[in-house]
Amino acid sequence: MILAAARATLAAVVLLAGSTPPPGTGAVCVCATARSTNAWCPVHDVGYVGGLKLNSSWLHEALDAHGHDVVLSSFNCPACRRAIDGDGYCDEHKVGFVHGRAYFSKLTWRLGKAEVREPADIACAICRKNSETHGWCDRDRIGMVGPFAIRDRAAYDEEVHALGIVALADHEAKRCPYCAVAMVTDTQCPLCRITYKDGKRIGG
Amino acid sequence: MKRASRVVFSVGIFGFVVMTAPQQSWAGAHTWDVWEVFTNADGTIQFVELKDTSGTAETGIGGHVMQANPSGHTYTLLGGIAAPTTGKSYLLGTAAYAALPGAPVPDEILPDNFLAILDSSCAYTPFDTASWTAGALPTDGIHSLSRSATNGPLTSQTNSPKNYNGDTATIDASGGAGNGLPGVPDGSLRVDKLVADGSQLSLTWDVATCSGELDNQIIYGQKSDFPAIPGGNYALQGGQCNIGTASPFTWTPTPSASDGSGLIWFLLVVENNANKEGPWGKYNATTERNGPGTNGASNVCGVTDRDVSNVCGH
Repeated sequence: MILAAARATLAAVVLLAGSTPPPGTGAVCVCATARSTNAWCPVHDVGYVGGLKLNSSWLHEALDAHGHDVVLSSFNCPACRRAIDGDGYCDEHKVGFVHGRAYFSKLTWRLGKAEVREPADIACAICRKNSETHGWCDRDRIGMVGPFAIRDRAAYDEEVHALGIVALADHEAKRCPYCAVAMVTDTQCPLCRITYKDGKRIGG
Repeated sequence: MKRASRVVFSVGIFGFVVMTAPQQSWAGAHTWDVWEVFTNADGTIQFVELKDTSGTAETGIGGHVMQANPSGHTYTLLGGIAAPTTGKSYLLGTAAYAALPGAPVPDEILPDNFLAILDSSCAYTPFDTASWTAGALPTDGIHSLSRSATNGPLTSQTNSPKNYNGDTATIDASGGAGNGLPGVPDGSLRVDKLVADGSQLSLTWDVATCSGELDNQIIYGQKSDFPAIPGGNYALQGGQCNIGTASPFTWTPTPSASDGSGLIWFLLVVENNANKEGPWGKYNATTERNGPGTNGASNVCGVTDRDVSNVCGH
């Protein structure tokens, strides 16, 4: 009984320590939930997207992996309208929708459609192990990318590929954060003038 | 007792965690589009307007780079805006743009010549790029390239910069290009009665010959307002203000003379929404008609000055 009480107290102390902001910053640690919410922890200066730990805040901000409240009536393109109605994705305008909220890349849209499963709640040992990084479970026919469960194999494969580019981009961000963003958006770095496609340099 | 106190302790911890859970800073910046681009001929007066076409709280524009291509000129946004962003515009303008009378105050100052005359795109990196045919960027100081709809093409339109505060206006930078305000081309004005008594007229005129037509107004007088001597000033009874640039225009009701003559004369003149009007045309092929105001301005419709330097149309 005393041991149990001591453990509870210790847990409380650890929890409180994790929530204590550095002096003067006013920031609060969100690491406990950041992995499953794709959030950025201002205290520890790391963020998560699809269970992947990112060090570049600019890349994390650009990926912006959450549902955006938007004015749905402002989307007039037929493919966008279909996407809004069916939780789909418009390839032309690079925007997807889940429950009426907008996601601005296929990577984040797939995460928006995925089911969040905390490791402690996953019964299958393979899936639980997969949720530590990523992996496909043939028995349950579920792919895990971090805490995000994706049931469609093709979507899972595409997500793993996209997250691989994000990992490379996060590394590249140490040299140039704008190149990192260009890598994940298939655009040109406005500063280095390097153009990227599928994470690779194609010009500049 | 011990058990009870532990329960209270646990609830206290839970309450603490809930209360200190941070507000996620879901700023975002994806939904801004490059909406309008403008330059005068020498690149000193420029603006670029961004517009949030679908977002509601996309406040994270700071740090994003504006880039004109192929010149490669860049400008990094400062940002610092507060939600809501729904339907709002964000205005970048050069210092000379900001100094124009009546121009909406830019949210940030762009360097001169950010847009090169032969640029063919302007990007809000990495989320939106507005493209046009090289050489299509107007330089008359009046027209800009602007979208009319989300993801729509940029077309040449009368400029209409708008800032985050919602202030908007049409600027006249044609003076900077040495153009001045054009006249309405001589001989092009046609008047048709729409009702027999002349109380409703249709005015049709040439809108193609001269560029820089920003807005028009009809100024009118009666017989007794003609100059007393050749070359003298015209007096005026009033004006039909801000009729726009679309031809034909239906003028209704037309004014009536009060001097018993039954005669009303009128002129169609260009004005720039900055209290200046263009030429009235020449009464004897050599001498400009003049009103009572500065440089022969009409002093109606808020006009206080006139610019007759542009010879197009007369």
